Amino acid sequence: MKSYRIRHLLITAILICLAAWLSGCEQAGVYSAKLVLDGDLVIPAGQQESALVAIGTGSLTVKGGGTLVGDIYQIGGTVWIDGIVEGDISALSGDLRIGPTAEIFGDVLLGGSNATVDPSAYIRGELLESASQLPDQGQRNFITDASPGWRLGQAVFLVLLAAALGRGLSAPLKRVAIALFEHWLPSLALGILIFLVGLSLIVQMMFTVILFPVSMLGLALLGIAVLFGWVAAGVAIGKLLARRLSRLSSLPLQAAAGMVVLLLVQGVLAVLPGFGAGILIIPLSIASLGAVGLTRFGLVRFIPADQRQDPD
Amino acid sequence: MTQQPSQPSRLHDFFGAAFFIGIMAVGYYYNLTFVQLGLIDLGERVLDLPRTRVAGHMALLAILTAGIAISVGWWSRRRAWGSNLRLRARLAFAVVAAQTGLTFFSLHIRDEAVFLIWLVVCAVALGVGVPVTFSMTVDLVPRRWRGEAAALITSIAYLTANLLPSNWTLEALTQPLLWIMPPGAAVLGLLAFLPWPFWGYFELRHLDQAYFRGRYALRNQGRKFSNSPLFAFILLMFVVFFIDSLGFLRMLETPLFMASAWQSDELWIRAVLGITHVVGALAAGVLYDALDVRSLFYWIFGIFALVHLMYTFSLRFAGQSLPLSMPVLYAVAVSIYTVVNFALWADLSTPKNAGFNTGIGVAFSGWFATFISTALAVYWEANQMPLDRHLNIVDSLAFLAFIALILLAFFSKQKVTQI
Repeated sequence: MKSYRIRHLLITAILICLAAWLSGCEQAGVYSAKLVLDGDLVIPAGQQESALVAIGTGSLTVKGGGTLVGDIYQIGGTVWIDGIVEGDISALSGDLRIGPTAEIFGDVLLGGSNATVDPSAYIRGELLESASQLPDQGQRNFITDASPGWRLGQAVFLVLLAAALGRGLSAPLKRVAIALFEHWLPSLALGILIFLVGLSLIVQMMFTVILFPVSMLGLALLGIAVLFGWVAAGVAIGKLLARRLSRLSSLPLQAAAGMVVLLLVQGVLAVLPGFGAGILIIPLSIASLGAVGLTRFGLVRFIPADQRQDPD
Repeated sequence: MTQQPSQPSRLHDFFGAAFFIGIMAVGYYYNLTFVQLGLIDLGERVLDLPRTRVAGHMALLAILTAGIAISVGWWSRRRAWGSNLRLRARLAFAVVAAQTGLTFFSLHIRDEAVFLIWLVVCAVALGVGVPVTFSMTVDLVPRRWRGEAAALITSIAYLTANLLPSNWTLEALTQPLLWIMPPGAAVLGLLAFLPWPFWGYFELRHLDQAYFRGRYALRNQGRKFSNSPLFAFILLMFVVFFIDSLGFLRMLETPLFMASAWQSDELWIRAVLGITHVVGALAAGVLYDALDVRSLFYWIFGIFALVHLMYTFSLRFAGQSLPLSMPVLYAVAVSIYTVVNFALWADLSTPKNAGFNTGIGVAFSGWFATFISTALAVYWEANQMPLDRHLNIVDSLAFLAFIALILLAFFSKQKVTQI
């Protein structure tokens, strides 16, 4: 009964965290988008559209007097602007025409597109020929530069997630942890391949525009795999801790304690001069990805081919 | 009296593996740069021959090399060269010495007839070299090190090929080889002909089956040796080499792709690609030992399919330049299959049939496939086939191979379940 209550509490806490995280996605409408795959999207005079528009092989026309609030990503097709665009235009390819009455309240990146920009058009931001001309935003360390509240929230979320997964998915996590620590080299090798090929595949799918939602799912899957691997790493560290601390008897507690240690090490590395959190995050994330791949999300135990019993 | 394998010595094993890696890395570098690129430049630029004629000569070289490699492999099995390492080392010396001479002489060819004679001699050297050197894996590299050894060969060859030379003319391609090969041949000659004490150790190592019998040959131990895995892998590797060479040459000569790939004037771009080859090879070397080799073929075909799709996609949108991610991904696929090629043939073999298996495997899948597809690519280009159509065909082949492999895996599992 007690264990049921703890599980219930953990799941509720995770759901609250997830809800809070998702609610943040509503800000500034960044996560809503319009995809123009084929046909024409016309914003006539006097009408206002609020969207981030990605163009496939169709066309987008913002007529004089019409307003588009949001960014435009052009990956082909035709874009004609005679009205107002309250956002950036990134034209990677296709035909872009900015007419004399156009008003762009952002940057215009021409990239590889066939572009015609009327000299009378008003562009508040910069007109850039290629991505290399984009202004340097400065390097930002997402760990040390984030607000303490945000960092604490992230840490609490990860620790709770580790505890919850340790409770519900103990066997898969153990398999991933074994692959990650006992076979770290194959994990790292496979992680490199998954990372390189997975990212390329996702970017390629984004360029087709039609497969944009699928690519988002792929990205989420990669993220989940990395997170799962991190939790498995937490489990392994927690098991080591449990040898010293008898109180850490249950797997959820071990997973949570291990995750705390991991986050602490990451935090210390981030502030140490000459180091950076990347020294831990990058190899561990890539190896996590590989370990999850080797064990199919912990569903099978990984045994190297040269150690397998010969069926013959 | 039955011969017993010598007691294992880690130091000797390291030396043997290093010797093998050195020979194979230089040999592969020679093949990658001088044979695959230098001969085309010699035919087209120096001798001013039409593309289709050069393609025909390349096909001749391929067929001759493949035929000689198979014949020498067959002969080596018949004459039991598999248990005579020193003989193979001496033959390897003869091959390297002949190739050094051929490399030097190539700079003085000014006539097509001489070029043809030169090609025949080149094919003989290559055809003898393939079974002789590849079969040394069985004597010099313990089974568990084969993935890593193959990874190091691939890394050294590709990193050097990306950094040297700066352009792909015959003169530039022969320059580093003429620095490396004469001293290399001299060292190999000294090692092969002088009575060094380590020969006694290595000549008996292949008898220790726990270490030196191939991973896939091991499965057949105790029953009649089956050739079906060998032929299946020959077919798979043939398709891999064919797909790679069919698109690669065309991509290399397309100005849009040249600037952001292997032929770039920028050293940093070539260095990035060279390092990618190293990373891809090391990952493949580790995975070769850890996974079933079939899963590496999924990666190879999958990446080829994806990367050709990316190339054709970018052609359709006709940008001003191409992202480095495409050649990077391509380099990963090439590194994986090269690693498999260096490790697989010995792993399908016993000391007795290593020469024949490597001969037939490398001849068919490597030489034959590479040069036939190169000849086909040159022929298409000469007949003005549009680039996007060319790459579309390559992409389709890669997708087909990927799907065929999945289907094959599915049905082979079904068969096992029925038993």
